[in-house]
Amino acid sequence: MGESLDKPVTARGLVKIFTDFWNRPKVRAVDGLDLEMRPCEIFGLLGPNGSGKSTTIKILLGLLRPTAGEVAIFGLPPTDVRAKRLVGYLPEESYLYPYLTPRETLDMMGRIFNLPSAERKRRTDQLLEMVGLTAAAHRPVGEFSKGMARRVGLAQALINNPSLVILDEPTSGLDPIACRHVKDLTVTLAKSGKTVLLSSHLLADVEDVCDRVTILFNGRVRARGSMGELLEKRNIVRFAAPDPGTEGVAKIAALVREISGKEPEVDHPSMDLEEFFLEVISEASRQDETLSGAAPTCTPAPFLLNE
Amino acid sequence: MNRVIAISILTFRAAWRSRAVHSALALVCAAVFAFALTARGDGTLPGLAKLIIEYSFKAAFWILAMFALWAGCGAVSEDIRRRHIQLLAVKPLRCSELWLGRWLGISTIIAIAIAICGILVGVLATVAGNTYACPKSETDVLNDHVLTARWRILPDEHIPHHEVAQCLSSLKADGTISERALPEDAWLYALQKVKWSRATVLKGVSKEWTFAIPKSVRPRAPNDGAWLKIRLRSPTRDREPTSMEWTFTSLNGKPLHTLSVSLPPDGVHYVKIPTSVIKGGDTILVRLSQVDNSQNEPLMFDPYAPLEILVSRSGFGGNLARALLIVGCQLSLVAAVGVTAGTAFSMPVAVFVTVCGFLVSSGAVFFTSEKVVNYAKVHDPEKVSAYARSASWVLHKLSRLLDPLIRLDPVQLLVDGIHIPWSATIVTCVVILTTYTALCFVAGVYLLKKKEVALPE
Repeated sequence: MGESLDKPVTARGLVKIFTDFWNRPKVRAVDGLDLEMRPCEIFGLLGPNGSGKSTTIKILLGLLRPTAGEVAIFGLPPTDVRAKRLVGYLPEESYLYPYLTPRETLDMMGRIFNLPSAERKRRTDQLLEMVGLTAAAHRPVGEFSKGMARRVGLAQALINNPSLVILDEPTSGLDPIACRHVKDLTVTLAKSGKTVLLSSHLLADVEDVCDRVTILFNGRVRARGSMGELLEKRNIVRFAAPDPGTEGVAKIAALVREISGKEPEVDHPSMDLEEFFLEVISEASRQDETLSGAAPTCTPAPFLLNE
Repeated sequence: MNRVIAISILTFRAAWRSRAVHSALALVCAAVFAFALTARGDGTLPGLAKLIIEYSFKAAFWILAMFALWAGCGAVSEDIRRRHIQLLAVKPLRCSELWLGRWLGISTIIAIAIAICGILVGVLATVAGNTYACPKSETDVLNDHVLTARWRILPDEHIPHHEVAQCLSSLKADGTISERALPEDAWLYALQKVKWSRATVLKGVSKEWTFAIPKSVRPRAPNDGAWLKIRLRSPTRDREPTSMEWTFTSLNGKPLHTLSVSLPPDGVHYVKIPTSVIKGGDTILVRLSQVDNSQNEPLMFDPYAPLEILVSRSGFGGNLARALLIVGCQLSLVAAVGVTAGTAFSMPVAVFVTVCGFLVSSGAVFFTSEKVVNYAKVHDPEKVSAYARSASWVLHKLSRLLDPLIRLDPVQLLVDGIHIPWSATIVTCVVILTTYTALCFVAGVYLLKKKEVALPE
């Protein structure tokens, strides 16, 4: 079986049954899942707790073996070392070695990918810069907050400049600025030719960045499609225009009422809290340059953009 | 290889930054110092030095063996429990590379610890030799028999098959051995009888041993030391010394040397002989004549090691280094067993299983020793249950499996001032690494491949 770069992930009839010590079936975590991802897309995997998202991801990564069904990463079995070279993974929790510093963690991961020493150093520097941890590069990860550890986790997932990035709850534990950066980064990665599989509880995150989503419940697919197809309300139209004044609004409302026969809803669009928060912090960081934790930065590492 | 190095560095860093490792190292150093400072020997300087070397080394070995076991058992199992494995297993890392990296990392820590311990033991033994005021004779014994490395030449003690068979049939005829005894048990019993009868020299009777001197044995200078080491056993204590005459002749009967000594018929004795007697590649005959006929009891030698010829070869430092190398390999095997157990079980279970395994193995080595004969199996085999027979069979097989591992006891050789040849060192290390460790490696990799590393708890 050879590599097939146009099929990042293919899964057919995936079933995973967890058994007890005596091999008796205990839980059917994934039940007949079909999945196909296209190159350069951001694919969202949604579902409540226990719906089978993480189990599916672990099967795709070769960490669990499916009870039935087939799975291929770039046309290769997920346990194949060639497939693993092309994948970057950020787990649900960061699972980092607490006694290693971010620099040591990234250097070790780079070594595992057989990167030459100079290249390891270059990528490590760029990734630390990207996740805003250059100043904390020599502190053990065990001393980090959850958000800072998450950033190291994200950096290690990208050390090999992967073609397929699997992010399991990537914004969990991150502050709103870092969340925004991760979402921006996800979009940038997809634009630079990488395929991203994103699993999250936070529907807003998925809505912001994903091209297509699959919603799982009880191990089965309950809905799938592009964001447009799934979320568009075809029976409602929204106009956005400069405020025409009270009289203007009344005239437009009367016209809509006359055409549709129903009362239109009229209000002023508001800025969402995330947007407002980012504006406040951006202003504050311009005034105070000394930072003890992670720096708010969002410039993707140049090597990820093939620069 | 880069990936193996990455995991080794990871393991090394984990260990180096762990308090448990610092504690183990401190404990090893403390044990070495404690034995050196509190050792009470036989009242002689060589005795004290021997104790320092033996007990310090053995204490350090057991502490480091426990550490190797603990670190090995936790290397993979803790990765799985704490889920660090989910970061590693998704990288292009083969199971074999993970196993090797973990084992190499732990072995590096062990190598550093054993080197520190070796240096400490060497320094302490040498310092002890130079610190205490004592007669020159004791200092000479210390330098000649302890802080040295000597060739050891053992006599040709081959016992012909027919001699044992004859003994066996006579023992069966007089009813000492039951006809229904298992053949191997009966044979072992007869062999022991023959050995003991050969080791007993009756009053006024002479006995001769043949020594084939290996070609590699070349005394450095005529003044160098060469000794005849005599091990005597006596069922009664405080017997009067016996006068003996030892004659050394070449194979064609040419007399080489004669010496007369008076020795107590119990314990270990060293008798100095000229190095001119020892020529590499020659065969010499050593004959004992009992001059003193006043003694009524026979002279009894140790049946397993009655005589040895010892020839001064080199210093203590080189011998210590070779002993450390072998001990290091043995400890790295313990780590390998731990790493493999840790791939199959959680850490507490892995530690329990491996400790049980080591206890059973030690039991197998002890209970299947040729020095131990099961009385019931030989004399009254009907009383031996099927369970005991099966257990005995398992222990025998296990003991055979472990034989190459324990054939060379580096610490005992070091304490006895016996030269550990490089060839034996390399063979032992290669056997440990390419057989036992390789078996652990194959089993560990197989188990790791079969394991689902991200199962929910």
